[in-house]
Amino acid sequence: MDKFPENAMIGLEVHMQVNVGKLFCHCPPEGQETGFHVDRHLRTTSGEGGIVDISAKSEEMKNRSIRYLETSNSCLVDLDEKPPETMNRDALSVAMALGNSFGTMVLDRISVMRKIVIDGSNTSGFQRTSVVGFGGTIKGKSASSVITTICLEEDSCRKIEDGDSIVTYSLERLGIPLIEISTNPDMKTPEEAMEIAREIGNRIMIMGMLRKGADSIRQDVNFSMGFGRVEIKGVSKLTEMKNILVREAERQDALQEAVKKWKETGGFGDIDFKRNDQVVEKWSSKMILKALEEGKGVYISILKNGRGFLKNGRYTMGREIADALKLIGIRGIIHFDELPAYGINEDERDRILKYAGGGSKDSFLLLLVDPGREQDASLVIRERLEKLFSLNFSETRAAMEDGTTRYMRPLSGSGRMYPETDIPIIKVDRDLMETARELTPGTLQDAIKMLQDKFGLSGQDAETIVLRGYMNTFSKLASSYDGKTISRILLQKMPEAEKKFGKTISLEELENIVSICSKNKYGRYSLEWAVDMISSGKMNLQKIMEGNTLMPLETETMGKYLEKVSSEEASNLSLLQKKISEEFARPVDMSMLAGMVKERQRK
Amino acid sequence: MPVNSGTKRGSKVKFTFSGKEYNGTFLSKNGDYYSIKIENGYDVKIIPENVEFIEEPVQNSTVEIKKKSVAGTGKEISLITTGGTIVSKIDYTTGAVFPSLDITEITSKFPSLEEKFRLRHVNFLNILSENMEPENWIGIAEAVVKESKKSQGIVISHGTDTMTYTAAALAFMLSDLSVPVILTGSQKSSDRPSSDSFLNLAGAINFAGTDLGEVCIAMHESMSDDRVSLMRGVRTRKMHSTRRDAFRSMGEKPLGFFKAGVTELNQEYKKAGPNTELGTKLETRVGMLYFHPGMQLEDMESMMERKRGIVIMGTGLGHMALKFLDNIRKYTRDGGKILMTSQCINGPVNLDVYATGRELASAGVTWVENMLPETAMVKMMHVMANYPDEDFEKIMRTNLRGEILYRETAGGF
Repeated sequence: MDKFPENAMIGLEVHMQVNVGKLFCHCPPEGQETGFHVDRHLRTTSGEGGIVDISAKSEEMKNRSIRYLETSNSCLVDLDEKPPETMNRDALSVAMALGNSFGTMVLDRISVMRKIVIDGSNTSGFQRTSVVGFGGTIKGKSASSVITTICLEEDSCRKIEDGDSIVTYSLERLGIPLIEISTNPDMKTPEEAMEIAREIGNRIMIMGMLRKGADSIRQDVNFSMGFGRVEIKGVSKLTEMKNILVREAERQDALQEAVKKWKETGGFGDIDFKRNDQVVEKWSSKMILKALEEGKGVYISILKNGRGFLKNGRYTMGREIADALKLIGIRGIIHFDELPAYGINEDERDRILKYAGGGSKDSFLLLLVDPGREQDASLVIRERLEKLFSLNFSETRAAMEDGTTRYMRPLSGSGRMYPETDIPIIKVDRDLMETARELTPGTLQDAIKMLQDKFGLSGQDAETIVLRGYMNTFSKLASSYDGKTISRILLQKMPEAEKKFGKTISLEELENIVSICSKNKYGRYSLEWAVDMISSGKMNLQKIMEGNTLMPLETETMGKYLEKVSSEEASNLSLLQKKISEEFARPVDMSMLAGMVKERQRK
Repeated sequence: MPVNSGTKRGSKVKFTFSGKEYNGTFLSKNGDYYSIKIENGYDVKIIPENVEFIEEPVQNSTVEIKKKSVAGTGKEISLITTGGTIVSKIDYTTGAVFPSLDITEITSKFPSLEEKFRLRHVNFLNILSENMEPENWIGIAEAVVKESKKSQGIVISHGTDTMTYTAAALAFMLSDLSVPVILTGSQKSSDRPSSDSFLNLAGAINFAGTDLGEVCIAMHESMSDDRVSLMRGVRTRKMHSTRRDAFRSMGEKPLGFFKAGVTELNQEYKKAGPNTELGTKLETRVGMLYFHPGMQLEDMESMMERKRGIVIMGTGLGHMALKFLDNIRKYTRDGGKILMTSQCINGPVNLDVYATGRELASAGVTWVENMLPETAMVKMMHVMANYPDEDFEKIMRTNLRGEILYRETAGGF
């Protein structure tokens, strides 16, 4: 495929973590594992219409147990051992403010819903979510998109380990407020989608309300090119979006081509697995020998007319089948196209094909599974192929790190939603509206201009302050201290320290330091010194605050020291500054030092 | 549009919000708002003026849960439902949770259970357990006797709030049992995927398939969906308002556990006998008084006026302020019964240790080791109705159903 399909339709669901604690309890947003865990099982229940959601059902089929690792920022609400508390109003006002900035119409009554998700990512088996508003428009430079809904939901658990019989999650992220902005499928190209996604992300950056962390913004992308809607979950980096969309378009194009050709040759016939461990008398394949040792059987089925479609250049139907089987915990499927491999040679391959009753156009599927499971497998394979043969590719897929996507589950229906009975309907009152109005961000350009005009920052520094999410911190600090210095500390000094010492000062520590320096009118050297001391671990905040350590070294002491310094040493000012600073464990004012050295030279 | 006869659940509606029109499905009226389900499954609240009904609900829009008939080949187990969280789900008219679920929806989650046992479903009551009255206990006990003739084990699903009272009442009313009687429930309603009901019920049914001849409670052992504890009804207490491991066997280890389909009974227990004997007489004029600093004489007097027996939850070893002595003396002299238990829940009552205790005892207060307050109250109702007055103290001090622990070991607390 040379060109991105012209009939492509792309919609977005952008999820943003809000840095205001958790949504339904009083836990702090960050924490570490405590060592305690619980093991659970989740089961499907029917939604409001009495219908069991198909994606939930497919998850239940895996029948895995789920382990939750407790963290210091989790409580009985997170463990689903206590009803949720009332919704965090700060989070709600941020969602409303974001809506305001796009012209979204905010509802006057908010109902919390339960969205059934039984993959274990929520201890309760559902995600609490609520619509905050409808409509509004996101305008980029060249594209624009209409907002379907803005929702406020609780974030899910982070997956730690994915086993066949047990899946492990950490409670650390569970319950963090997540604003979800969903758009209509208005975008035509990956570039347009990236532009709109960036525009959404910028707004919360401008507010300075985004939680710090690698996955604080995550995108799900809805994509269609005429074969049904595919929902791609978990595109965490904006830069990956183009690659993922291009590859998904390629996958669908190759898939439809393969399906059409395969259909022309007569279709895939019937899938019927028969056991024959001795189809090859003496297997040389270690994989097969191991499986037989574990009590598994060798099951073989013909796949009519399938030769060259399962793994052959662009055609990768084999992977489509393997991914579907993986969902019911079946690994280890082998087909004609990929052989010789896995220690199975051509001769053995041909013997398997002959046993399956296949001819020159046919392929076969070989499964290594426990007796009985071949029935589940044939059902899943048949369903998967029938769906693909109907040229309906709609499903939920997961974005992988290499830019490909993997089949996750059928698309979830609306049947998985039902009301959260533990939380009464929330009235959007005057206070909330007022707070939201105050928080409502302008555009990126507005924010940059404000920083330039009010604090004298360069356009580039102003933009970086906003896009790194420092808007709030900066505004607060720059209200009592020179803005350019604060910008320099945030954008240069702190990243430098991070590079040098592997860690840097926290924003909270910086606030304390700035407050002392502001009160005592200490210059930027005191600030920079403190960043170095804390980042390197030489001093902690408490020690710095207890002594009068932030005060620049007195002229008298410095004068006495300079008496002993050779003129050669005095010529390298920055090295000298460092030396004196280390000697007395105090900041040294560079301009003062320079003046004194100059004075000495004059003498 | 104003409310009309078209306001039926499931009706298709159009509504306008901020000048734009949307489609949805009408759910219910909540206060001044209509609950409308929009196409992506979310519910929103819209004022009735902005909603237009366009289509009547489609018939059979709710899917019937298929009921599985008794298919198994194993022991026949009667499953008596009385209500409670375990059979609760959302009520759309109030938005709150109410007992209305068919318990087969839970048992059908366990095909292995339905194969292993033949389940007889008996829908007996449908109430939250805070509404349970002594006459309901009697009704349940009679249902147990009836079912004991038809099946080999009985499971009673029950609200958790007063489950231990019902368990104690059944234990005292049923002097002999030919089948195990297991109460179970859940702390999270069964319409939640994480509900504890599934495992609790599986455990209870399996325990009902053993040779136990006692009334027991089967609930989660821990916050994991791992083991179900089998606890003697008269020694069990709900010790947490929300956690799934709320039920604890007090002062003694659980009689056994259920895990991964296997039951293990590893403490001494009474085995099922040939017959089930029932005595339904209960003295209902028995009350309970929680002593506290500042309690007034009238507080006790008003209870004494109406009750023939009072269980006091005293402090520590079983104490209360001495200002009540005269009232107590007069009450017991007139034939009233007073039994002292402890607010500590754990550990014995002993009125011999302190002077206060001795004075209370001499004023006619009865005390019995470490009987749980709720169990003591139910036992008092049973004893006062079934034994001669002069035997009251003797029978209260006799261990009838395992309610008294004569030996308390370090591991019991």
